[in-house]
Amino acid sequence: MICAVTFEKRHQFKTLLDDMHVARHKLYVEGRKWRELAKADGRETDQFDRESTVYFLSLGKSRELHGGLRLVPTTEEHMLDSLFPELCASGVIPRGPDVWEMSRVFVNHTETCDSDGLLIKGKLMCAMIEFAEQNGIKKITGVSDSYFLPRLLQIGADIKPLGLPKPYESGEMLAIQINIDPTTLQKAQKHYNIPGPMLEETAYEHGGDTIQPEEEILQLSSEIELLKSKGYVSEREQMIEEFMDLVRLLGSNDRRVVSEAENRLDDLARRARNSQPGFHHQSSLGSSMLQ
Amino acid sequence: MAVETDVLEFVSNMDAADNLDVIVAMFDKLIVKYGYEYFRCAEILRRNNPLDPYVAFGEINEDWCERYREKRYVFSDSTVQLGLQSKYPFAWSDVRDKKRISSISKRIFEEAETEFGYKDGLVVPIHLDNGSISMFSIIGEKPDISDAVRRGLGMAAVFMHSKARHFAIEERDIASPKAPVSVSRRQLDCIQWVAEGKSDWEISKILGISESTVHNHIEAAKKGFAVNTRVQAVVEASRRRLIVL
Repeated sequence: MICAVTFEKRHQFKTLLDDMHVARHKLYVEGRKWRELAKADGRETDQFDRESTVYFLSLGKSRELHGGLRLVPTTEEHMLDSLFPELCASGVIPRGPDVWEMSRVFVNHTETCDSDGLLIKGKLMCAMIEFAEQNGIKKITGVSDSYFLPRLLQIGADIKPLGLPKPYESGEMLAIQINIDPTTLQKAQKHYNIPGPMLEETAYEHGGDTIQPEEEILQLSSEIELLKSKGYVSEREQMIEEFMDLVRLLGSNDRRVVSEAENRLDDLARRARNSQPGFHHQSSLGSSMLQ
Repeated sequence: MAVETDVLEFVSNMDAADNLDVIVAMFDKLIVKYGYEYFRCAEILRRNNPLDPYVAFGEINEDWCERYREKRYVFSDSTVQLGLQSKYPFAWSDVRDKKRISSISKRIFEEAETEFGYKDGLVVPIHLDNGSISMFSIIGEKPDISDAVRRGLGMAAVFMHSKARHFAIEERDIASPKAPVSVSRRQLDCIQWVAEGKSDWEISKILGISESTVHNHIEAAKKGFAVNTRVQAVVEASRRRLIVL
């Protein structure tokens, strides 16, 4: 299964996201020798690992990290506009709320396939397209070594070059754009032999049995403090009541109850944020994602 | 940059093409602007998997093709040798000017030039996921082999190859519609080795994966073919021409 980790869900994926940065360092710095990305702590991060970034993580049977990629919105600084503008013909860089940029694709597993026989890369691509469909993303751009272009085109999707390849220290690179249409997912699934949806809707780093309720509640009660301190208590009374109910449910031993509560909590947090302009601790995910 | 505009236009115009001939004509029109006259693309390294159609197109002199085949030039041609290792397009002259090429390879260059007028060319190596490698050669009398043209036509060639490959897949799907089976290539690899009489442990060593993964692949293949034994899976895979016995 593939988890799409948005900013709201990152707290559930702390360890896996850390594993991801380590895996990226292994692949890009130690493997591909992109020395400029080297970090002393062995974790590769860059300016595009931001709040608005969405990570796709491929997890194995015991929820260990097998691979991943990330999507960055082009309404903010991204690789094509800040690092590789010369890859776009006449400097025209695709940008907009429905254009996201894919980067840092990696497979962190001894094999290219999972034990179910499906390509990890294929699962990631399909999940990314599912996410695009669900969130109104129409174009996915990216920078690739031109050596991989034929493989990308094997999918049979509508993929266009944005300019000619250019030489870099690491090889010849080019910018491409995947146009997402109603046939894209089906084509990718057919090419990679993926039987159905890959995107896990409610994903958790820990199984129900390893969740530590005390810690979760502690974290949540500090959010209550925050709400109180903002002086929104009276207006938010109903939300806080709902919130307290959810806190109780989060301590449940039944995984489904916890999972349901987490979902409702995400929803609640969104509503609280949307209704209160002074209480934005994020969401540059674009309005389409917040529906 | 002229070549960038030309190539981007070529790629976007290819969308409207509904058969290979149309694209071949478009590609001819593109390359002639840069001093090229002929091209030929053929898969030279291929896994024997009927799921993948064999892709070859483009016209060069038949006599030359015949001779190339008969004398098995493919094994001595240094552009092919470099193409197998190279990630990016390169020019014949890059290879030819090197001192250390075999006398047979030298002769291949000379014959191509003096008898057929194939003076210089580009070789675009195309590597696919399944390990298949195609060589796309674009040949001319006085071709422009500058870096920009090399990269531009190289990219056009990759898009053209992809389109031709998808036409071939469509044709095959229309010609032999089969009940869809959800058996992956990796699973078929395992079934192929089962057919050779190998045990799970042996297959795991051959494919460099764990024994339990091999077992899972085979179980999944049995499920995909809706059969109960591995012998049946071999029979079914063979009947559907997914493996070769």
